[in-house]
Formats: sequence, C-alpha cells, structure tokens
Amino acid sequence: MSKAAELEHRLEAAADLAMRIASGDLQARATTSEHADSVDALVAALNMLAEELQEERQSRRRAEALLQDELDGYEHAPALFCSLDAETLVVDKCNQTLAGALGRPKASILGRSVLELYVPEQRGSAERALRDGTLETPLEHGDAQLVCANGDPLVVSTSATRVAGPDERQRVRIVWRDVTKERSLEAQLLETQKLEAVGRLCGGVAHDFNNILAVISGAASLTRDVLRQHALDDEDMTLVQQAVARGAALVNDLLAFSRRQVVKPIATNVGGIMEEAGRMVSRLVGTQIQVQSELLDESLTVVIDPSQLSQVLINLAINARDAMPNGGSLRLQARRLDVLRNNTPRSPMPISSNQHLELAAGSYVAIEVSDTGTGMSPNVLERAFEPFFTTKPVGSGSGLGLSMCYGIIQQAGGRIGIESQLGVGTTVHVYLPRSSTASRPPPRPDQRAPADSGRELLLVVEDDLAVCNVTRRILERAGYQVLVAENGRLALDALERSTRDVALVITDLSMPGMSGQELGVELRHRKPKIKVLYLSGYSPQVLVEGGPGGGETDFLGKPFTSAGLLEKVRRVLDRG
Amino acid sequence: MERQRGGGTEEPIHTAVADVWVEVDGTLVLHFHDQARAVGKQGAEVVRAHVAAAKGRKLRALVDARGIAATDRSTRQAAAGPAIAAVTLRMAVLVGDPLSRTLGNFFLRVTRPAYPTRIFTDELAARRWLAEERTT
Repeated sequence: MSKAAELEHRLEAAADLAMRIASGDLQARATTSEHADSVDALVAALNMLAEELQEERQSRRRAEALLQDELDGYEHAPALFCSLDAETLVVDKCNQTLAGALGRPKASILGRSVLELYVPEQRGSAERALRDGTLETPLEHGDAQLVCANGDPLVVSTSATRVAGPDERQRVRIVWRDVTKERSLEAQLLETQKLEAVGRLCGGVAHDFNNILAVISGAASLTRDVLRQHALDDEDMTLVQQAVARGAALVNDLLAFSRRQVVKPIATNVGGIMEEAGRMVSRLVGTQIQVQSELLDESLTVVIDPSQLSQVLINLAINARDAMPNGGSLRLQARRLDVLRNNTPRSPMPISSNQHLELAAGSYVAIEVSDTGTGMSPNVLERAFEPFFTTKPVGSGSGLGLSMCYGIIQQAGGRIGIESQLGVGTTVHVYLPRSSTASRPPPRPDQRAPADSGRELLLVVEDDLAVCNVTRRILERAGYQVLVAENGRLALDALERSTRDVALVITDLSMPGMSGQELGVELRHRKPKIKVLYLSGYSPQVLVEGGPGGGETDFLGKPFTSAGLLEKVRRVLDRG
Repeated sequence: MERQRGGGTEEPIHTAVADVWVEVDGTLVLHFHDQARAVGKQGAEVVRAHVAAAKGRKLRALVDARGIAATDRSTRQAAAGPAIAAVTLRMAVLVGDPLSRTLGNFFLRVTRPAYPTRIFTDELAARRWLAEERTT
C-alpha cells in the first residue's frame, strides 16, 4: 500500500471513529499507529473525547438518579409541601403527599390560589399570615384547616418561609404537617375525661340515692306489713314501692354509665344474644321498620354480662326506631375484627364524625347497629354519650340510653362510637375484645324459695344510720337477733364482745375508715367460718372479680325490698 | 535526559511504562518509555511511583512524555488529582511528536491538573521554567 493510500485509509478510520462518537457510541475507540503523527494525534484526541463524554454521561445519569431520589423524597415526604408566588399566592409546586392528603390531583392544586385549599372561614386569616412574612423569617401560624375534595377538614400545623425566587419575585414555601388524627385524639381524650368525670359524679350520686331509696323502700315494706296486719289499705305503700322501683331503675342506668353497676361477666356468644335481641327488637320497632340481623363470622365470643349486652342492643334499637318515625331499615351486624397493630378501625369513631377511635392490637368482635333514620347533627353527635342529654320530647326519653351503653361497653373493656349523617342515618359501632373461651349459658337462678325468717344472730354494719335502722327493723321483724355497728372497727369489737356466735355479717361496702371489703378480709382471717353479705349502692370491680379472699361473694344491691333482703339472708345462711 | 537517567541521588523507580527518579537539585523526573501506553494498571503504577519517589516532599516535576502513545481517563485524573498535587510544586510536560503533543495538551486543557503545569518541546526551556520555582 502506498503512503498516500495508507494515510487516506487512516484518515477514513479516524473519520469513522468521529462518526460513531457523534452518533452516541461512546464506547468506540481506535488504536494509534507507531507513527505518532497527526493522524494518530487526531485518533487519540477522539478516543479521549469519547472517554470524557462517556464519563459525562455517567455522571449525568448519577445526578439524574440522585435528583429523582430527592424528587421522590419531596413527593412522598411525610410533610405536605407547596410553594407559591408571594404576591399572587398562586401555587406553582406541591408534593404528592399534599395532593393525597387532600384527595385531589396535583393538577387541581397547581395554578390556583393557595387560599382555595383553606376552609372558607380561615381564608382571610391565612392570607394575612402569608402576606405578613418577611424574607427568611419563618411564619408559624398554628393550626389551620384545609378542606379535602370530599369536604372533610384536614387539620394542619403550618410553617411557612418567604424566600427570594430566581426571577426576583418573592416566593412562599409552606410546610404543613397533618395533625388531624393528633387533634382528634386530643379531643377524644378530653371528651373521655369529661365523661369520666361525669361518670364519677353520677356514680357518687347514684350511691347516695340508692341509700335513700333503700330507706324509703325498707320503711315502706315495714309500714305495708303493719297495715296488712291490721287489715288496712296498703295501696299508698304500693305506690311508694313502685316509685322506688322507678327511681332504682334510673339509678341503675346511671350506674351503668358510671361503670359501677353490678355485673356478672361471662364468656358470651354474641350470636345468641343478637338472635334473642333481634326477636325482641322486631316486636319493639313495629312493622314499618325492616329489621335485618347478620352474623358474618362464627364463634364470636366476648366476656360480658349477657343481660347487659342485650340491654345495649335493645337500647340502640330503640334509638334507631325513634329516629325512623316513618319507617326504614334497621341492621344489626356482628363480625370478627383483627387489629394487627394499634390502629384506627375502618369507621370514623365516636363522639363526633371527624374523630377516630383508636383500638389496641388484638382480636375484637365488631357489632354495628345501623339505621336509615334522621341522623344526628355534629353538635348532637358530640354530646350523644352525655348523661341526660336527649333530643327526644320531654317525657319520651331519660337521656341515659346511650350513656348506659357507653358505660357498659367501657366496663367490658370495649369501645363504642357513632357515625352519623343528617338525613342519611346512624351507625353505632361497638368493639368488644374477642374471647377464646367457649361461651356458656348464664347460671340458672336458684328456684327454691327460701324461708324468710330465722333465729340466728346477725351483725349489720352500716354507716348510714337510716339504712342501718331500716335493715335492722326488717331483720328483727323476721325473727332474727340483730347487732349493729356503724363501721368496720366497731363491728370487729362487737364480734369480740358477743357471747353468742354471729351467723352472718351484713356489711355496707362503702364506709369511711375500714371499708366493707377490708372488713370481709379481716373476718375471713379471724373467723373463717363466718358468712358475709355485702350491701352497696354500686359494685366495685373487686367484688365482680371474685371478692375478698377470692371465694364466692354474696352481694345485695341497694335499694332492696324487705322480701329481697330476707330471701338473700336466708339463702346465705342456709348454704353449707 | 538519557544522560541523567538514574544519575540522581536517589534510587530510580522503574515501572512497566516509565521510570521515576529525583535529581540532585530536587527535580523529580518521570520518563515515559517509547510507545508507552499509560492506561489501566500501568497508568496507576506510574502515579504511585511518582508519589513514592517524592517521599512526601513537594517537588518540581519534569515529565518526559515524548515517548507516550496513549493514556486513559483514570490515569489522567489520578495524575491531575490531589495525590500528585500534594507532592508537586509545578510540572513541565515535555512533548515531541503530534501524538504526544495532543496527549499533553488534552491533559493540560481538559483534565486540568490542580498544580501549575506547562507543555514544552524543549527540555532546557522546561528546566528553566521549573527552576523559577524554588524547592521548598
């Protein structure tokens, strides 16, 4: 090959290399010859150019990946970002988290005033706050409410900064943090604390009321007995007894709300209770309302007093009935719900519709009672569990139905909440911890009617003088010998002094100093064979769980009738 | 250059494509062999030899690249980078044929070493320029 031809060949090879590089093949390389001449120089320069371009391309790809990573971080950060023109307040950038939280596409946020994201009543204050800022000084203007696409409020805490934009126009960068759940939980806690306080008050009032009713009831019983002995009209005393019974029922509802009602929790099959309640509800609601009862899972067992669960279902059904004066549909549904970690159940919960009920991880039985009635306004919903709050006409409702349900479910370790919309209907959600214990039928009451009299020596321990007297008189009239003591310490002294064995101690539970429960423990220690009957206006949890010493506990709630007291005393005395 | 190779006060370091030594006046000389291809491992070896010969001192460097036939990017980047900058006061690169001139110019203009560098075709001129910088 001639030198000219060789040179031409090498130049063509160099040109080919340049073309390949230009077309994007940055791996292309050519070797130089031993001449180290200008053609080789050209080839070497092209080789090095390709290397540099390749590095540049890789570097750009790395930068793009990094940028994409940062963009992803921005888009899906836990905070809600947007930036806007400081003068027009028009949003030109926002992240996906904000769009997701508001439930609207980004396109519907960009290019519009940020004020449109606020609830109408806060737009003025938000505008003032956003316009007041100065460069690089963070604007903190507390909680604000944005409005979601579906109309729900989104509570956010705001931090905004005014910065200089590239075009010398100032911009505002806003960082919102979604605190909806946080605020809801705070409100829920506040509401729970309020209900707790009212509950404690109700419990105390109910206890005192029961003492008063016990006196009235006992005295009325005694008076009626006297009237009957003399063949006189005892109708007035019957009226008194009926009034006492109504008062006792009211107090019982208060006790249910304050979670101090006497309960006998056992493993209970929700299906059985629902079936039974469903039949009763069908009779209660009339033909205009269609009742549907659904059990979506098998083996729905909870630990609760079955009569109380029935009471809850029937109360909720009555409320549903009253909300559907022109008929409608009432649905009772129970299913299993497993919460894997502390979470909010599917439905918005209690007290008001924008608050959520937290459930601890675990297995639950979820019961829903839904109606297609008038629904509740948010204001009514907020107060629904308050005792004596009612929207029913005077005389139609005590305002204790939902309060009682609240207390019963709380006492059983469950949660209750309401979801309601005006004109659409109401759903009450009840969550009870699911039990793995097989349900058993409630124990049958002893059908034998015991004798109502006796000769034994009894000791009545009661700090309320009136209750003490009426109790003593009922017992003495039935033939018993009765010692009395106004507190636990005096009771122990009386027992020591007594020359005759006391067969039964009847003691109030709530007394200053030594409580009835402490007295019971002391008695078991000093005189293990002595029997104890506890009286109280309410039942503390310790008795529900087995009583002092862990043995069987005899308990009689106040107010009691003379017959009720005598029957219970005899039954305890006769038991081996 | 041939005359002075190995004539320094310190033992020269030989690599597959170059030799490095330090002369009596403290000038580090890096001499590429004819048709040397300073790429990949061989390129990295030359950079290591340069650093080792300097023994932590900052020296004037005369790089005789007249025989070089190829370099790759990683070698150029290493030669222009902090390891060499740490031991170099200034560097004179001697080039000859069009290929070495192109490689030298590319190193100077594109890779842009982090220390004063000039390209020379005349060794004496290169040494004069280096001598302007006193060894520290």
